Formats: sequence, C-alpha cells, structure tokens
Amino acid sequence: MSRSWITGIAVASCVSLLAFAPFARQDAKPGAAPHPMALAPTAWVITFELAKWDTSKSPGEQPGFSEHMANCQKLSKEGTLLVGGPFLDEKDPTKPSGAMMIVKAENAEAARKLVSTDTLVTKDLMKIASVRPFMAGAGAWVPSAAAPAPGGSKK
Amino acid sequence: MVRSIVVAVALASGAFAGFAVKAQQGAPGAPAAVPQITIPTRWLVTFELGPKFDATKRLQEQTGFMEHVTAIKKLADDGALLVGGPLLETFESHKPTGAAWIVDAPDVEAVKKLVATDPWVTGELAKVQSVRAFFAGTGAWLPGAKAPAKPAGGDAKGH
Repeated sequence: MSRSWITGIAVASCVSLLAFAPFARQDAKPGAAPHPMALAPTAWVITFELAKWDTSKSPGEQPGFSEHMANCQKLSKEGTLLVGGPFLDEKDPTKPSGAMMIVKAENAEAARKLVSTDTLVTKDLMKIASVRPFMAGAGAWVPSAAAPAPGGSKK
Repeated sequence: MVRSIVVAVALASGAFAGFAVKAQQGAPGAPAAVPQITIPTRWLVTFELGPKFDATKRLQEQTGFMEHVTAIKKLADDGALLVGGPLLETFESHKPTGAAWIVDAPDVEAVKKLVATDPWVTGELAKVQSVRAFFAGTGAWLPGAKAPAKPAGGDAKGH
C-alpha cells in the first residue's frame, strides 16, 4: 500500500513538472527584459487636481518641483510609473491644469501610497482626484502590444 | 540604456524650461501674443459606459467586440492610440466602468475623429466623458525609457 502511495506521489510530481515546464520556459526568455505587465497586471489611473499650485508661476518655480521631477524619474526607472505628466490648460498650454499618472501597484492603497509621498502632494500643491483600476489592453506604448521588431522607433 | 533615460530627462526638463520662458513672455497684461507651443501634446480621453453596453455580459460578449478590437488595433498600429484599456470597478470583479485612452492628435477635432473610428463609440456602447490635453513627461512606457534594468545587469554606473 505504501508503495502505491509513493508511486502516486512520483507520478503526480512528474505530471505537475510537465505541466509547469512550458510556463517556466515562457517566463525565462533568454535576454528578454522582464515584462512590466507580466510582473503585476494591475495598473491604476490616478488623476490630480491643482490645489495650492500657484498658476502665476512656472512649474519650475513651484516649491518642491525639482524633488517631484526626481521622484517621477525614480518611479519611472523602477517601472512603477508607466506614464505620467500634467494636463495642460486649454487656453494656455504652458500651464498645467492637473496631472495624471498610470502606475503599477498591487492594490488601491499601494497605488495611493506610491504617489502620496510626492512633494507636490505632501506640500498640497496638488490633490489626488481619482484612483481607478485600469487594464492597459492596447496602444503603441503598451509593452504587450509593442511590435516584435526590436528598436523600432515610434514617434 | 542609461543614456536614453538621460536623454528623456533632458527632453522633459527642456519642455519645462520652455514652460518657464513662455510663462514669462505671456505675463498678465502682456499684448496678445499667440503662444507657439511645440511640446508634444497628447490627450487623455475617458469614456463612460454607453446605453447600449450590456452590463450583464462580459466585455468579450458585447455587440461588435471583434470590430472594436480591430479598430483599436489599427489605431495602435498607426501610433495614434498610445495607451488604451478599460477602467474597472475592481480587479476582482473585472467589471468595466468605462475606459481611458492616451492618444496622439494635433487637436480636439482630430481626437474626436480618432475616437469615432471605434464602433463601440458610434454604437453607443461607450461614450466620451472627457478629453484633456496631456503632456507625457515621464514613465517607463514612454519611448526612450527602457524597461527596468535587471539586478545583475549593467545598471547606472555613470555614462
């Protein structure tokens, strides 16, 4: 009886190994950069509205703006900030009228936490207006939809 | 890889420097000088569900799903649709509440034309909620920014 039990386990492990093998191979493409969406397929669209932002001043003159830019670069490099930037004023496109970020995060709390330490938020220059779960299905910038040709330049 | 990120940073800062100059020129009370903006403007388009969207069905079961996908793919291939997808209630329920697109277009009229190529818009399954001019300053998905470097790989050591 114990022998058949052992055989059962052996068979089961072989089967499960076989079952996982194709997935393991897919994940470990040699030389391929880790796919941003493969690691966490959960993105969030976060919008911001201006609060104490001084519209009479340029972005560079706002307190904490350079720290904000450094933070965005850091998050971008980490791969957590996927797309970010200001909304532009309809009448005067030199002025921001809010901002939007698409971030990668496990859940809404994590998404909120990720952006709430930004100096523009801590200094109350802008406020989080909405945090919505987003599934990036298509688009020239979305890695899963990118053309297979490496280094293909897009405008 | 490192260099391309630096270039992206330089471009972004350049755009902001441009903001600063223009802001000074266009000081309040200055004579009506037409602002010449050359920064690449994109648009964030948000959609809400339209009256023909059947909330009892999954996305794939909605009328004209394949035509919708084909239209979206064409927009993406043309480089007009940069990022697009459904906004969800939660990732668990996977219930769509609308959609968000980032598009590349010269003006609002062009945005509306692009949007109208989607049969879900003309068929009232989706309805445009807002169109806002957007400047994509940073992000891992922007052209020029690469995927995060592998831990073992040659990360930023300087240039």
